[in-house]
Amino acid sequence: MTIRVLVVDDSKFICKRIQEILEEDSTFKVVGVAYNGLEAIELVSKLRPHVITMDVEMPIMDGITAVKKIMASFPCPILMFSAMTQIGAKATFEALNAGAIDFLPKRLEDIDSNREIAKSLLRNRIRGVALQSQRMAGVAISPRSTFFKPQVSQDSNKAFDLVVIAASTGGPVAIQHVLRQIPENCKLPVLVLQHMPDKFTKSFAERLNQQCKIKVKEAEDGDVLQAGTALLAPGGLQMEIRKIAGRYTISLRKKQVGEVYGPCIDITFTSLAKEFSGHILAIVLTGMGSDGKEGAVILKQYGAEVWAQDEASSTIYGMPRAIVEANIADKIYSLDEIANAVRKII
Amino acid sequence: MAIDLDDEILQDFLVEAGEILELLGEQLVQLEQSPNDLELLNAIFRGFHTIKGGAGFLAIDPLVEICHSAEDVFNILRQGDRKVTSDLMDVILKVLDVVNEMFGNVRSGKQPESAGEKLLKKLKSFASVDQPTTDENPVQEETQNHVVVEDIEQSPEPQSAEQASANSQINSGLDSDEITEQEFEELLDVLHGKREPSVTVPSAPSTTDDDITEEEFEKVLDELHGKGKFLAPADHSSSPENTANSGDITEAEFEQYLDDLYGKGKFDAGKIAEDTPAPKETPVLDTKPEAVNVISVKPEIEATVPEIKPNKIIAVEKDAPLDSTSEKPNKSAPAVQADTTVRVDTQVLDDIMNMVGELVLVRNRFQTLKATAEAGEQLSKAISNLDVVTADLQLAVMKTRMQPIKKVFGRFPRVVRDLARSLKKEIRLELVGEDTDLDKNLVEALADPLVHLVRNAVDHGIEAPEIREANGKPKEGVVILKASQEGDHIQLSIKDDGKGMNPDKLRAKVVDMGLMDEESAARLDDKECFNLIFLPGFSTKTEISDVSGRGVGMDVVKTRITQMNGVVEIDSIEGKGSTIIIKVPLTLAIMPTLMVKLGGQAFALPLASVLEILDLDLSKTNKVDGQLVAMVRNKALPLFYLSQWLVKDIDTMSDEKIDGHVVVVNAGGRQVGFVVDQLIGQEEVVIKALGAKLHGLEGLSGATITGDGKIALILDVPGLMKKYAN
Repeated sequence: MTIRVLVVDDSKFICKRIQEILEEDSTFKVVGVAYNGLEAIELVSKLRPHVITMDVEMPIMDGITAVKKIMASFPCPILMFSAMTQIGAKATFEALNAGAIDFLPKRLEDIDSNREIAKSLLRNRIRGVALQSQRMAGVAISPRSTFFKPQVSQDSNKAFDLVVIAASTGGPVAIQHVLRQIPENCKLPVLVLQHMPDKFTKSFAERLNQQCKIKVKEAEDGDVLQAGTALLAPGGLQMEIRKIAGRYTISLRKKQVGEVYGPCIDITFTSLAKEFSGHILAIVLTGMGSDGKEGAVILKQYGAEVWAQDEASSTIYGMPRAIVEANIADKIYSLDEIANAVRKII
Repeated sequence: MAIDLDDEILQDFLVEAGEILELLGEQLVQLEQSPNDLELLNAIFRGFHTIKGGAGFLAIDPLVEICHSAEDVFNILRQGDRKVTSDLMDVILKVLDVVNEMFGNVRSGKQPESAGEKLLKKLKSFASVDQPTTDENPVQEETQNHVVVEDIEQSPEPQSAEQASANSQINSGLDSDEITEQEFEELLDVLHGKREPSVTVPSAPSTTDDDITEEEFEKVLDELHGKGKFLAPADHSSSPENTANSGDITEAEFEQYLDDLYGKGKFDAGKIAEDTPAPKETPVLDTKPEAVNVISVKPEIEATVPEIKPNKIIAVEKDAPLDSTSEKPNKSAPAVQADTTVRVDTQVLDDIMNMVGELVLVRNRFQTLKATAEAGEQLSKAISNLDVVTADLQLAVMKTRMQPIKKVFGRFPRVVRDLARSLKKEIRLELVGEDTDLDKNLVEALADPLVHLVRNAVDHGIEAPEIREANGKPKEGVVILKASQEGDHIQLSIKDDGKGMNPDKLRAKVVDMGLMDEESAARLDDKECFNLIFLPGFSTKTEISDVSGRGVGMDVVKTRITQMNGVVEIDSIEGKGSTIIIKVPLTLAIMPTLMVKLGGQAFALPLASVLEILDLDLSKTNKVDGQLVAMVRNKALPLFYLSQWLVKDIDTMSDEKIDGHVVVVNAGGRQVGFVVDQLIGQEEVVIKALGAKLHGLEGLSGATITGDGKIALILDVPGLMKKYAN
């Protein structure tokens, strides 16, 4: 089944290149090209694509406005092409809040240094975002997910000592939703793991800090876990925990060869399981792939509790599904339920 | 990544980015005229952004680097965190030059080099939120410098509506917000000629109708110092030098200073209200007073300036609220076009043009045959069809080679801007008829002559602002560059409202230089005098500037244009300005001509030069100073017997010609009549170059094959005149 794509960018050159890259894979077909937001809206209604790739800076109507309007009239999965800069980050978050599902760097080298791999990753991401159509238009593209019952949760009365939230595609908006509800007098330290390029996590943390009652910052090497502070793992690095002089501190390291993600949720989960002696609540939210499953298994072995976001509210039901299908989800909650529950325990 | 010119993707990028670059050139100069145009700032931002995107895709890192920095600057600008200043524009224009250079490199297959630490650093410094105190020389909305005394600037209600509505930005031409006692002293000294200026004070006092009245002045001072301390100063007796001793200056000295700056009694509060603010986008100035170095007299702000002494006089430049009423529509949105173009080598087009030329000749043959031979009806019809089809084909092929003259015009705003800045003149350039199409070869060939003519207009034509003002002209000079299609040729004109030319001066000069004797010079009429400037070596500029004045330019321009079978002439009114008109044929290859016969031989006269055809009574001619003339409509028309010049062994004088055919032509602005034996008619001919051995013969610009298969020489009027008429 071909995935129909609408490409939106004010540079004809870029549009052509994206089209070429996509159509190297015959499952993609670029059904339309728009050079500004207004044209994009017109074409969406006419063409009803499965997925839209959207640029931010365009004349007449910019990308963010276009995302808002499209999501309000003909909702469609949208992937933003972002400049890997602070300005780009800001714009991207606005777009995500406006309803865009995911984003990718504009430059291939920022996706991966190997051009072919980068192209392939790009296609995969777009494919993943396209599969959201099923949620929005009710058209089944992917095989239906089978139902899993959550494990009977053990000892849900036990108080938690740490909350760690992990997400990927669709994460920024979901995390925002959850963190904003945490009250100022939050008694627990919070760790946040979001798959995100390094240039963006700082902006993301600042943005969250502005929006949340609790303090949010990008984690730095040596930061101490504190109640009422949410530390966001910096993009491109791995975040682990060490106990130093009686206190839990952040330890950051570079990605090693073979590590696909940075931050890699599995690595952080594993580190927490081994180093943190308190009761951990790990929440796996929306995201593509299955990062976090291996780590969650280990967490479970060490007595942690694991929640997964449900399919209905997940932007991409990939990571949470991996948790569920591995039978390690203590609770399967919708995003609202997660937000409520966290507010209560924290 | 290596530059692979065969890479279709690279070529794609070069086309798209090339267009954006050209547009950026225009937009940047436009920006200086409308520094607050948000649409424009956005468009320029996007321009650099898009080029960066494409360059990023192709991994042309130096290009990405510099576009990225430029993009950052424009992002700051469009957010209103910094204002456009002339210095910033200088840097940005330099950046554009560098980017163009990089493009050039890429186009020739070379990897471009980085823009360099220095430039990038400079750009970076502009890419941060502006600190008010370091803001210098913001570019004004109109190009008028106003020197204003700042503390009279802002004053509540009683002042005229203009001033009240204005929230003018006051900026220091100096480095700090305030000038020190010392600097003020220096200013005064400079004014009185005692010292070389170490502090720049804008020199041009402005003419304005906005005088500050005594009452207003008093009121302002009252605000400053409390009521009743001053009398409206009436005399200017005390010399400003007294300030050396006291911290305050007296009101008399103050007035004196003002008078010195502006001439007595004049005051300019900054003509702001020309553009009534109709902000569509967030007006920065009006809402962010803290971003601006406003030291105003508004009572509420007074508190922040502890001791406002009148000696805080700061050079003020006018500023206006964010202007979104600029009439220049942003045309940066690329046309929505899928790939409907094909890239073709211009050589191929040239070849096609040649072939069409041959076809035209064959068609001409057929037409002649049709006329002479007993062509059957069928054949006649077929030939008529051929005629129509060939004409269409000719037009169509010509169209493929047509480009809007915009391509050439595009570089002029920058040329004028840079030149005006270096000569300290104020000039506005207007471009009319940018969409006029002409043959690609012509466009390229015209570029240099046009640049020279425009530079000339700027350098020699437009006077310095002070002189213009003294002569009652607006300080800003206007140069209008206009292109239009007039039938079968293109007309370009460069008109300036500068100082024009004096025919007598030119007359004197040409005699001085030995190019003409006094008598001949005296006989020239005004128009002919003006056209003297096209003579080689002719220049009335006593100093040779960097730009022009060496006397090599104009005759080269004329030669080039003549080579294109075009004509150029100049007219002028002293004190009012000059106009240069260039006419070039639509295409270089095919030319409409008037075919004539001289002594049995066919010659072709370019129709563009032909003004009219007369039948004259040749016995009624006179000789004036040895020159044969005929009276036509009460004007003397010099006559020349072409056959005498061009045909061997012809003795026209013996021919008892009573009625003669005279073709009146335009010879470099003059009207002259050529006597010909026979008029054949209008014919469109294909210009064939003369062979190498005949090349360079004056008076001939080529040859063609006539409809009856014979060879006709194509005449070049200026060349003929030059060679034979003197």
